[in-house]
Amino acid sequence: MLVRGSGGGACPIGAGTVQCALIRALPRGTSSIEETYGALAAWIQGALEAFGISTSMGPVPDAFCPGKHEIVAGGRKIAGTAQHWRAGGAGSHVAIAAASINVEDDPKSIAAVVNEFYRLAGGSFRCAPSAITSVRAELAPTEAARDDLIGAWMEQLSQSVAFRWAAAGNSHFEA
Amino acid sequence: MSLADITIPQGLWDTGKTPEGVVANWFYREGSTVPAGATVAEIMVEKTNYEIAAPAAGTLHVLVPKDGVVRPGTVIGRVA
Repeated sequence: MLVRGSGGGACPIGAGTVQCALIRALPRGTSSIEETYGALAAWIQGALEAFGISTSMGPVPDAFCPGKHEIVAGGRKIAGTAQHWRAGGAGSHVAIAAASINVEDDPKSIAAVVNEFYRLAGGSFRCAPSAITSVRAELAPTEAARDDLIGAWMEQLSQSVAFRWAAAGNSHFEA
Repeated sequence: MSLADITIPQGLWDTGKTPEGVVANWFYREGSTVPAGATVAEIMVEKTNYEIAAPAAGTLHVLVPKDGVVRPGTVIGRVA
């Protein structure tokens, strides 16, 4: 178990999840928490949309680490988001907007490890497997097609961020 | 003696969507001497951990304690 710098509850990571982040140098007053969530979501949602996975941003209360800015496919959580704004000089910050994307882990396994954590910690929160989905589950129907698409989608995610950020006219960006 | 407010920035989050945040931690005790620019506190709002730096050097006075509720514009402490 690792304690992360961003906010939120327990977030399971494993061989089937991808952790990614946008890192933004923000002078005083140039952004908000919602605007930064939007920038992070646009990156990930664009990569999913390119493979036919339509998503929205919003809450999924019964999924692990619940919040208002999850990335949702078909009513289920496909990626969770959180932020850590590190103080710089003159009121500036470096905002680290992080996402945990479930690429192909089994929702039952995810829910089981989250629920075991809260049981051991004495917490009452419980995660429902039905609240979680994965990139693999949302892709084309055949297993062979999904295997090919998972690799292609990962490449899309890694290549898309610089293009999208530059296209939006942003200059202070580092991924 | 001059006072410098330690303030949650206006517009940091949309209070229409998330009314309040909380002071998650103070990293210096009441009465401590803090250097300008030191990270003195962090707040938590909508899964965001936001660090706050001292606007000036001096003696820290805590106005909103740990677990206290905050909104954009709240003065959580002062440095004198």
